[in-house]
Amino acid sequence: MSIGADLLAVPFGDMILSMATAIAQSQKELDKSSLVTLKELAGTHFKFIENITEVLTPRPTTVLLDPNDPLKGSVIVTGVDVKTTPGPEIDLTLLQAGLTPTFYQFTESKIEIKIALSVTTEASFGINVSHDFSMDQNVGFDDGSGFTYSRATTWASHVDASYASKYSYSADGSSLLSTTLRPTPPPQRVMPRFISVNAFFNPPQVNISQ
Amino acid sequence: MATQMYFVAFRNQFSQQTSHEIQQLVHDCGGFILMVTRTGQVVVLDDSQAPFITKHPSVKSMGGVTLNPRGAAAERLQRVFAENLSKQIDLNTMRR
Repeated sequence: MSIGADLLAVPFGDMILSMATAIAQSQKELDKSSLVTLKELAGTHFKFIENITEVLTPRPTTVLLDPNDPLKGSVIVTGVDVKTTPGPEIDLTLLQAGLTPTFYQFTESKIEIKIALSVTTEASFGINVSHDFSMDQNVGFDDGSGFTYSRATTWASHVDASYASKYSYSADGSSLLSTTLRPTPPPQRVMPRFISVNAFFNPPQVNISQ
Repeated sequence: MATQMYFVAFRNQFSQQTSHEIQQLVHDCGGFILMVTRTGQVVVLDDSQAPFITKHPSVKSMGGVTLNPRGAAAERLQRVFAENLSKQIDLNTMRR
């Protein structure tokens, strides 16, 4: 199998589809969670006192130098009266006040496939040749004074040929899927624009917050 | 580790005991209470600790919030948060 074929065998399409589906589902759940928080913030009311007026008025007080002996005299010390008047209470929600839910967004997603392939081929060829040679000679005389001579010769040759081939193949793979989640400003369509008209002032104060 | 501001909404009607329980839990998780209302609390907490708070039976939902500086009372909220935070942080311990 070639390396190109191995790479083609990786199901990129399925992986991308699975990842995209998972991201879409996660994004939906995150948005739902943020909308739940938005509803909670919009339902949390509190009394907001915009102004508290403190009026300080002088109140001179006579203090005796010796409380046990009034004849020793007295001094006048500066006193102060503080009159605190809270302004009118305004019913605000936390959303109106300025708390907004955090929306999150998957900004970057990455799929990384790593494949390590190794192909090893080993071939060995060997020839083993051996030769054997032997010769026997016999010389003698028989009773009839005859002369005898015999010779035997043997020749042997061995040829041993061997061929071995080894083929090994291994493939290691790893995949990495990573995504980045970042807080984003709330969508404009989700967040209402608050227009507060404070009629306690003349002319009324208009405050627009988004 | 990332510290975030969360709004923790109560499941049932407000009770002092439940509110204290959740405040204690937030403290135990290393967080701080920025503001307490009758329907929930604004807390600041490490995001890894958030699941421990959501598991509390009296917690209805918990979501990250941010302060919009253009809000009607954003400046006042910021001051309230700072005041409450200063009561919970021991600067001498932090310096050590």
